[in-house]
Amino acid sequence: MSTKSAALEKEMKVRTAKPNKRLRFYRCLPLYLMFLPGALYLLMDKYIPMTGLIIAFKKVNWRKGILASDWVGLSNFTYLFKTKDAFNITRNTLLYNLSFIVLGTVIAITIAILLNEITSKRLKQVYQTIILLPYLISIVVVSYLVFALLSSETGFINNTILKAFGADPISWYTEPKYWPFILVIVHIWKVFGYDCILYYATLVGIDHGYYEAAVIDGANRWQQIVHVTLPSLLPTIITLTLMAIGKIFYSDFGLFYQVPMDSGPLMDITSTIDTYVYRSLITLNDLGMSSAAGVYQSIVGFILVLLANWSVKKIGGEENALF
Amino acid sequence: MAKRILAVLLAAVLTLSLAACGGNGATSSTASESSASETSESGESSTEESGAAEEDLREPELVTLDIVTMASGKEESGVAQVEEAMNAILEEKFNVNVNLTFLPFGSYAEQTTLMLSSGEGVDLMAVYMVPYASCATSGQLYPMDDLIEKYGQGIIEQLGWDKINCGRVDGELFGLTQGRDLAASEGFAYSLEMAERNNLDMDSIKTLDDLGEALKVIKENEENVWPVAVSAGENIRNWGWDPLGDQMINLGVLTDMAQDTTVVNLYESEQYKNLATTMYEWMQAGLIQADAVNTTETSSTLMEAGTAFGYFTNLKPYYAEENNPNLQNKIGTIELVEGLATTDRVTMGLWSIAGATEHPEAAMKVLNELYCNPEVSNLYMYGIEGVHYQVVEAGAVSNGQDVITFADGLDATTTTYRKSGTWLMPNQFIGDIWGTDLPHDYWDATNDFNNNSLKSKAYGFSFDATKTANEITACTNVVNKYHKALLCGALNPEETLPKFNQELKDAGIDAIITEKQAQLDAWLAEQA
Repeated sequence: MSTKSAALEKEMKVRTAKPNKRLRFYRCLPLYLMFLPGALYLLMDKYIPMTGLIIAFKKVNWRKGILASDWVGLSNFTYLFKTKDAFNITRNTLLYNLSFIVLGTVIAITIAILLNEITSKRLKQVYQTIILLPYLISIVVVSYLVFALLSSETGFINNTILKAFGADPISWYTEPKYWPFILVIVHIWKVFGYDCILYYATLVGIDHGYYEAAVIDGANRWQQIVHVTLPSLLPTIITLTLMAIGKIFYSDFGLFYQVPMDSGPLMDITSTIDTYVYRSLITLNDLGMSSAAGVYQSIVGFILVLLANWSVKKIGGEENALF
Repeated sequence: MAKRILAVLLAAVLTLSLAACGGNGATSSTASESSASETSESGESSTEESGAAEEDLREPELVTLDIVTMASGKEESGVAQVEEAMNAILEEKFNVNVNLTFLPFGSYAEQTTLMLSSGEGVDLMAVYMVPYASCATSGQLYPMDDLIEKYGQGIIEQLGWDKINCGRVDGELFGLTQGRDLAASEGFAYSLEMAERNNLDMDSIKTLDDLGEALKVIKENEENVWPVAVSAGENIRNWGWDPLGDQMINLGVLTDMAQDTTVVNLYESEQYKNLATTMYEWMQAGLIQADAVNTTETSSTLMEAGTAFGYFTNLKPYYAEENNPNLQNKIGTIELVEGLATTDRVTMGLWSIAGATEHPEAAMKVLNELYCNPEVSNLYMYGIEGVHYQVVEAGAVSNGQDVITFADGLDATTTTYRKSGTWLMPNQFIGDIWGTDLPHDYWDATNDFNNNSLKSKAYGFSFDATKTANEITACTNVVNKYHKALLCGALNPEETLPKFNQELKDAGIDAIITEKQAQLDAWLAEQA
């Protein structure tokens, strides 16, 4: 009996396996089709351009074409390491992004919780809109908003605030020491609204039963936040942070290029890899050298992502890692 | 209901912003290619095929060339008319149409670099403020030797080989200098009216210190006026040194009027330190536009708005007289550094054929026409007679051309094709003279100035940068950080210069100077 049923089962498996596979394909066809445009985009936008990596190892001559240009080994990379440029731009990119991640997350969560505490629906909507608005402003406009504040001639800070305190005006665009703060403030002001909405969406989804139970147990507002809200937010925080870490070696080009207004004396502090690559291309007009900086970015970025993922696996377990 | 609409709106906003964060909308707008090139139709070309076979200069098919140069940044409606008029001539002669692009000073280097490295939107252009030699060696420019022999005999006649040879890189020709001022004195242009109002005797000013005193008077008496305005972050480009190569970065120069052939680091020289110190003091005293480092405006904008007294500039004979017809606020000039002729003055602006062009021969034919045909040259420089300008004195100029001025009812602000940046156009010397302030032998006077100015000891020498390319790249990044800002007075030279020079040393400026000296010595030995 048992052998018979086992055989039957086996036959069933064999019989169903084939159509099952085909059936699964047909059933999933819409999903494959949905996947297709994205995959094509990825291929065109990310994979095909990767062939451009060879430019970094060539002395590009446009009349010969990229493929026929002479190979020059690593010589395009030497200028990066001749000065402190490579160190500077790596440090800037990493430290800025790190502070964006930490401060951005803390502020976004704080505001999301505050937003959640507002009971008036109308006020809630007003605040949400106000918070999100900076995210929608073009960075070029933002750079002029900043200029309106910092300009030595007409700037609000020099002419109104510092004057009111009797302080000397500051030449903001030639003093590198202020810029780490300025850039962090501008960036967070601009993007926290977006993260905030994501966190808020999670908050809204938390079951009210938990809060009711907490209230019955005698928890005050603060305790509710610490023991109910934050733990419920944790998965969202981890996902968003990991995604940010994955991009830690890429910088917001607009922020670092437009907001300091291309001011030479600030470059040590405001140059990131992306702006450096662009500037090399514009001022040096050398495709090989600017590509070299780009390749450097890719390699170090790749290593960092692997490291971040590895450490998340170690600390937070498999299920929290990106891959 | 309202809530639902709001929800939909918010969702839309979210998706939009998600899409928006994909691309960074911040890169400067690439190559503002002027409107479609098919402006004038090629109605005749098909019927004239038999004619094309006879005339060997005609292209077999109608070719459209993109020509790029610098002018005021304003959109100008007259450009299409000028294109049409130029096409009428060029189509008959060569079966070529042109599409004119004018880019503003502030973004000229950036936009032309992008054009050259993408190979799009340009066939023929003025290479200015971009590293010409590296453009040439990377194939972004088209070699001209064969073309000029074949189609450019007129150019050879106009410029002469001496000047043409200045455009050689590793022995090959990639660019042609123009018929313009090839030496420069340095000085200050100022508002005549403002000087008069403050009883300033500008003619008595001979030194920077004298000028500083005058500027202080302006600062005190005039409200909301900057004594010194700055163009796109650049206050002074040269103060009597020979840059021996790229005039924007000055790596290894001959200082103090270039009469000593020892190559030195400009940024360590007394000359530079004094200049930067003066500028710093002026900035502290409020004499220089406060946001000088960041400004993307040109000084002439501020001058015209009446919010600036003057600006530093390189000068040539009748600089003021040439510019004044275009200005509401008339200017005068004072010379502070006498005229100096250097190789880089000859090569600072060169007309080149883009390496990516599909029609190098047509480009050379048109270039030859621009250098030799006054009719085409005048159209390009000044627009259309009767529409943009009128003739004041026909045939009065010593080259047989006319003295012209704005057409009736037009002025610098209302014209649709403004004469600006003509110095960068191929050959002014064959064309009209704008305005009655200039003498009729103005072009001859400019030529005399070119020939009679003090010559740098390295005049004619051009530096081959290939051996030190890496050092130059590294040093260029350093210079870009400090140089312009120092000469705007935005940085304290006491603190900045040591740091600046240390970074230059780390980046290898000494290797560049040694190499330059060796090449210069070899060249000098050859000359002797």
